[in-house]
Amino acid sequence: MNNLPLLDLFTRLREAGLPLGVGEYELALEALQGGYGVTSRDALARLCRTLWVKSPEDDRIFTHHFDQTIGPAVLPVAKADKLAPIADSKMAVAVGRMDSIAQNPTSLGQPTDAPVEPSKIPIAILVGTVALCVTALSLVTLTFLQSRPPVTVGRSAPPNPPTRISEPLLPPQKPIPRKNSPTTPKPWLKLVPPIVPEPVKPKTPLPSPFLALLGQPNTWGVLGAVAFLAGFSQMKRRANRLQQSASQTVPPIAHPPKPPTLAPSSELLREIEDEVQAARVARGATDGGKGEFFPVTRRQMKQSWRHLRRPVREGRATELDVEATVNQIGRQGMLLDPVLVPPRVNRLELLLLIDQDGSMIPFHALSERLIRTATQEGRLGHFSIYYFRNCPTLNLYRDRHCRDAEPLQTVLETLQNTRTVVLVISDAGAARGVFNPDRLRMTRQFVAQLQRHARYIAWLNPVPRSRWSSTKSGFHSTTAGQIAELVPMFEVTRAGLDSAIDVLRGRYHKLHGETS
Amino acid sequence: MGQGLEAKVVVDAFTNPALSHASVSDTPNNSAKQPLEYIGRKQPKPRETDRSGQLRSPYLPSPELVEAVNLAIYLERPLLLKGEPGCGKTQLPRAVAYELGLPWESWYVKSTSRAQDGLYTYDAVGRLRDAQLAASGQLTAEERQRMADPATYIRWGALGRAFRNDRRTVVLIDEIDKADIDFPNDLLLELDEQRFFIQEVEVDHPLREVRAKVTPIVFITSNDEKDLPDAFLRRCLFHHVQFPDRHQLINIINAHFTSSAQELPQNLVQAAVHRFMELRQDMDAAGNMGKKVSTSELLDWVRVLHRHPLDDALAKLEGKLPYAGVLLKNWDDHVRYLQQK
Repeated sequence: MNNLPLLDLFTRLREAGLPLGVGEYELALEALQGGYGVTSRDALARLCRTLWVKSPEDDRIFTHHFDQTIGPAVLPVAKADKLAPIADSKMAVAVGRMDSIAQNPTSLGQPTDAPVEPSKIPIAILVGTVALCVTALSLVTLTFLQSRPPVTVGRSAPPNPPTRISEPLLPPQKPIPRKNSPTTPKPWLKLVPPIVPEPVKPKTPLPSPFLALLGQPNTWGVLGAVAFLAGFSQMKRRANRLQQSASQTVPPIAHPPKPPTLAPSSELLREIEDEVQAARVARGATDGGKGEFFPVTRRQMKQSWRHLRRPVREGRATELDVEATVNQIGRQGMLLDPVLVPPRVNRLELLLLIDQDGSMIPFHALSERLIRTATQEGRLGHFSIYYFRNCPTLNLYRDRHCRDAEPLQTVLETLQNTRTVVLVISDAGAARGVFNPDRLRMTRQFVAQLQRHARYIAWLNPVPRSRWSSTKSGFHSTTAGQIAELVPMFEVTRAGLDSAIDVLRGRYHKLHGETS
Repeated sequence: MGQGLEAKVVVDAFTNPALSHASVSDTPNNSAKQPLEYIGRKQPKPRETDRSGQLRSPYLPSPELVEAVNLAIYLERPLLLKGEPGCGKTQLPRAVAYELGLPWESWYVKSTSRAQDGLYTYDAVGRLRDAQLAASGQLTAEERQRMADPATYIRWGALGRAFRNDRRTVVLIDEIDKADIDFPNDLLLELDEQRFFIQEVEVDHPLREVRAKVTPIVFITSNDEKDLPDAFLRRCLFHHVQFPDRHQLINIINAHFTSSAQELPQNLVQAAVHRFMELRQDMDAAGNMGKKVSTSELLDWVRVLHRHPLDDALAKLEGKLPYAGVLLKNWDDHVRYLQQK
């Protein structure tokens, strides 16, 4: 039972933050056994979508990963008939494992031993070429890699994840098969499906003893990547020797033209990357540090905002208060009329103050996301946003470009001080990491002013805690560290956001540097 | 895979009501095992009404939707339907129940709904009243007897009725996102384990625990006003109902107008759908995040146009948008439309 179908796809989706559990995976197996999703690639995609995807955003993540694990999506019309067998066989390899589980084997079950049709040959030869490269070059390059790494292979191999290779491999390149077709031995054609970098481990016994050598699952991806790049550079060299202009055709190999309808746009990919990265950060995995800094996903933010409520019974009395009614009957000796109470509504009012200073520029997207999730999810009695630079002194601004000013005192006076809570999002000077007595004085004044008008105040600092939390007591390390002694300050992580919201709900929080 | 064969049997069962009735009543407890397959082709006859006297309307689902429905029936999981307003989310369960010949229950969630309302409500006030009447000796012996039975004061909700029904029941939980955020989570146990407890009756009473006799087919719709909790999403299948395309819209209009006295001229339908799709695209292009024109409005619009002679109606469609009030409900849309032309 090692080779479960679609397990790789499922794991990837889980890692990308989709809400999936073992039960959902079993559900997919059950559906496959029931004969759903086995007729075509699209049917499989539809099945997985119905079972595992719960929102349009998740759908984009799903499409991305599905294309990577099962093979690229619908092909251009001209090439469709040529490429369809490969995509289908890949799918069949992924789905085919269910034969071991399913009682009734499907017609798609045995793709690996299927005879090669004439239409498959160009691709088969292409993959066969890679097979050759694997046989010849993987051994050579691997031994040469340690002593004298060639520039092209040694530099570019590690950062490429092995799964990416499956994409460039598929569209056939004309010069390659023509050049290598006489040298490719026929028996290699049989190896086509296992050679395609397939995330699901092939269960069928490997037909060649050589492949058995290469059959280690962990070395597969690395070998595939190295072999492809080695073969790729080899071909590039050969092509260069033959004709100078041939080198111009190289980029299309690395980035094959994708069908415009299904290829994810660059914007889309960015979003997917963002989601994946945020999920990784949330899971504590390290990341290269590229892209935006999003330690909390949208979903998590919404979940946190949900806790921010302060239900108050208000409005028309419509709910029956059973306890009070029973008490009243006890007193009066009979039921005269039931006691009704007003339903609970959330009357919490949130004032969000956002720093738009230069040092906060990297975190603008983060504060935007906090605003958007709060508007969407928090069912607050009242929700207002104001912007400021560095520290609010006289004015707050209604727009994020700090043009539309409103006096701070006016804003504060309109607050209902019994039910208003304030969340400040600012680095408090931590991005610069210095101590600025002026800023501290201004902030102290502002916080004192705020405390008179708001019930609870919390501060979110997008800069990591280690940058501002001072360990040496009594020593003025950073401005932010000092401010954290005035207001409960948290870094922007899941735990930090939750703690900040707890403070706004009235939980006591020990201030930074406070003893006892 | 034998699916085709089963499907054929099911179709036969429905073309022959006597057969369908027999097959259902023969194996009331076994009907979960009985393969149910939704085809989406059976449409009500013109002027056919349901039990409550509501006119039945035809429903033309997309093949993907049919597949999702069958998956939900097969896996016995609730199917969560999302999609823009007017794409037919709420109509689907009724159509499924009609085609499969199953009883159906609907539960329209309101902002004040609690999860328990769908299972049962306990008429505590009624019991109190009866107790007082009994104390003052105003109840007959028969009424006293009735009072002793705790089941008297239980009012079953949609899910409660479905659980107690011997036949597999189609349940619609409409607009689940309207209720409180805890609402979906409160339903988890009931949807997962197909049982619930009635807290008001004695612990050892047979009514204390209600178990589903047959797993109901549950449809849940959401307009995405609020995000649903992950734990709830995990247990549901999900399908995003796409707005019908041009071809489907024409079919839908034709299906709805088969009952009307005069035949609907096809060139009018074509022209109206064309104009309608244009309007939708304009709304898209304008980055309109509000309500887009939907199928029901299109039907009304065609109905109005149909009152005119054909050439008159076609001429109207060529010019300024006729009867814009039927389609454009938003003042901003109206202004934008006027500015464009």
